Amino acid sequence: MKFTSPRPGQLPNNVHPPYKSTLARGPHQPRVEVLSRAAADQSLRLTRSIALRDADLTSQGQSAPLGQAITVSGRVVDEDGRPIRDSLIEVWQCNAAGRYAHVKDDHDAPLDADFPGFGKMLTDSDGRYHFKTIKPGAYPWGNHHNAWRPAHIHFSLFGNVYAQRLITQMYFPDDPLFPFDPIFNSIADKAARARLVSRFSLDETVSGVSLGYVFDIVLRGRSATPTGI
Amino acid sequence: MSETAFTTHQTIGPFFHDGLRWAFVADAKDATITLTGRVLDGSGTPVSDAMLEAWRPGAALSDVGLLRVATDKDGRYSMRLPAARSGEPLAHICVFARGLLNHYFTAVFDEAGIDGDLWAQIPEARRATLLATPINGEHLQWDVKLQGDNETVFFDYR
Repeated sequence: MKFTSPRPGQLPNNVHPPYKSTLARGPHQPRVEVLSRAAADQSLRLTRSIALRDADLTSQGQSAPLGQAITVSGRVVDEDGRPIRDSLIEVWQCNAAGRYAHVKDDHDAPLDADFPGFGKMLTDSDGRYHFKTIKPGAYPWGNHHNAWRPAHIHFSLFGNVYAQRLITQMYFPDDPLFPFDPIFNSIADKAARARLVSRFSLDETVSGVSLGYVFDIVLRGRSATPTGI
Repeated sequence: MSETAFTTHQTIGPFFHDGLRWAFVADAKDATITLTGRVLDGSGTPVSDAMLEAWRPGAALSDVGLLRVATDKDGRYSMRLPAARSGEPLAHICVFARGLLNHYFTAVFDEAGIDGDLWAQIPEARRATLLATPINGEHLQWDVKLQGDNETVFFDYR
């Protein structure tokens, strides 16, 4: 595959002053463009199996977790629109009250023993994925006065070649916290920001069970061979 | 085929450990080299909530295909890798942390890897940031400096 340079504003700035932790951590130097045939053409070789249960975040406790049951599904493709097949996706999130089951999360909201809040799955032969979970809550953080993160699910994707690795966050439609969140707004390009927001789907909604959200993902990379030849 | 705009990055945040722990592997199959070091921010402060992934083309370093390690409270990491092939990095590395809005690709080299194709593409003045330092025998040290003096070179693969 080949990877073209992102346009300005499509990636978050390394240092985005409203997100204070970037001030000392974000690199100052621009990335160095390198060609690595291996990174552009080869993938990691996953041999550990992924259990079906790993894609149901609501079945990891003794009983169902509290919160609004939802499904998240979508299709993972490259910049040519070709499906990313048999590829690992990892997800993690806080519970319905906005608390991560993490030793360092000190938000004073209840933990839910039935919701560890993480899962993993593989895309199918058409690049599709699907998991069941509960809608995560918003939570406060110490970045600035009255800072609250919009509800989000963390995504980790590996793609079909190493250079496609992606870490991102999926948001929910019409979140009133969007204008105030420096992490979301670290992406200058409005359209690029909007692509991190899932859409509600009545088609994916399971009658009497769960609301459906759709989050399609495009990984970087195009065919190295010109299309149409 | 239509061209589609890619999905952009967001930070891994501080709470990734439990979700990603299933694939925490520090020791590669057939490892002979120990690589240790720290992840440091622009003020030299250790980054205690970073994660590194190490990948080698064509090598299944583990049954998840890579090594994945989190830094400890002192910003330290440790991993064990097979010896580098001539002209190739010891490992391709990806760096993640709270406060990093992007994940950053880089690579770590030892003496066996320099003068290869990837090494040659790194600006000469900054190459030393990717070179691990021998401590003794097959124990190497390599720090990731996220920002400032001797900032680690990060890649955009093309």
